[in-house]
Amino acid sequence: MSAALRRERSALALLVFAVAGVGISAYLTTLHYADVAPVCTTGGIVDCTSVLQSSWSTVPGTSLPVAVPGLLWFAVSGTLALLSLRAAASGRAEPRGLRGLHAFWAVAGMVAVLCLVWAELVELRRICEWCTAVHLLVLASLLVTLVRLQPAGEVEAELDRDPAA
Amino acid sequence: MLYRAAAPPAKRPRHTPTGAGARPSRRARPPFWRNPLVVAAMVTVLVVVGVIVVVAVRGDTTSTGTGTQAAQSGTPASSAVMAAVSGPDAAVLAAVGNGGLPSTFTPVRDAAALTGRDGKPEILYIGADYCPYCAAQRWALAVALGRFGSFDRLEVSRSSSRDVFPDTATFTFRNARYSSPYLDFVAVETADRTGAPLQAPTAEQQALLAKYDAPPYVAAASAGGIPWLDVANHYVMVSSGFTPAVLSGLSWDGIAARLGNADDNVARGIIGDANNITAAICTVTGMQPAAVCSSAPIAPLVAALR
Repeated sequence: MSAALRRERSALALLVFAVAGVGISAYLTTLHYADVAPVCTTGGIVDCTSVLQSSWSTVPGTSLPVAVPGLLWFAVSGTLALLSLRAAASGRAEPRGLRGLHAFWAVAGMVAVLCLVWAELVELRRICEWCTAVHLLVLASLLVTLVRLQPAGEVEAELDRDPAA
Repeated sequence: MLYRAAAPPAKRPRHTPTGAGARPSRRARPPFWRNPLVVAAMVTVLVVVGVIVVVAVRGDTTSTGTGTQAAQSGTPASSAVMAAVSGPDAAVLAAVGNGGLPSTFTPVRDAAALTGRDGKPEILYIGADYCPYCAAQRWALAVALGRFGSFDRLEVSRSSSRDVFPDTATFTFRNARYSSPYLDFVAVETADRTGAPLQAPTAEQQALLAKYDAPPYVAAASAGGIPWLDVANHYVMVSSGFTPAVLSGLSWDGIAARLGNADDNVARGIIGDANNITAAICTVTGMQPAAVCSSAPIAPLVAALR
């Protein structure tokens, strides 16, 4: 791995989160349309079947499972991370505003996650472990995008100018 | 040149501890948990989740739209709801089948038939207004019974605000009157939605409950549970045939409207469960009325039950 890519570990982490999120979202979407019960706990407070069959599992006013917008969210997040990585690999500067856009996207995702947490805890009194995994991936993505908003260390900038670096 | 991850920072006096011209030491980026944006985000998320947890624990649903409406026991179901329940589309009934829900009825083979005052088979339901699983089961039961007779007064209600699947829109059978040429329906709602005692089962009903709402007729973990349904002492069933989750957040009219779409989870739950109940009832009415019991998908469900 090149030094540039090593310094883009945060973008790599975002890509990993996105891939995991796409995987889970695709699984939940498939379950919905195949009408198959998910592999998860049933009964008690942790009961993903109840959550995934609830009226909160679809986009309001439609029969579209919320896993589909979730899948799209992770796909976009992964694409943004890939743009960062590609720029790093080629030694070019990142597209301007990319990090800000990614952070904004992550904040929007987190707002949606909090709405879904509300539905789980208040409306259903049930928790879905697959959904929780997705929620944690969105939270992790948010935190990483916020870290990436912080300017790189001054010393790193100095290293850029240092011929010995 | 190394890749610059961000715009060059504003210049500050360079700190050179080893003297001018020395290579600057790499100053590690501060740990992420000291990043003010990360701290602010974490605090915000934790506060919001904390508020959600508090609201959930307190059973406070005062800002959840349809879920906020107070129980409306005593209010008759609207004509739209009654029409959807008592006359669902035959094509939808057939398309849903059992909705992918296996019948959870247990046969009772050693009991005398339970009959009403005029000798018709009796369907006995025992539940409570607060119980969310009863809330779900009442929808299916109302659809099933609507195929054998008619309700005179079916009132709307909601399950408890403090239980799982809070405020599920449903009916209460506490004041319902049902008439049918094929069967008698007896319902006992033991408590209101707050848990206060409402209707007490008779001694005979208590005896049936003690005997058939217990192993081997129901799983040990479900013994004594409600809703409990006794189909003329031929079949018994405890709990609902589908999860109340599918009704969460929906109004009565919203649920009724979804009964017309065979692909909707609401229709698959309510009508699938209703078809299973209908099949069980057909076994005690001598497959009458034929228009119901010999129709698709009831006939095959009856065959599977037997």
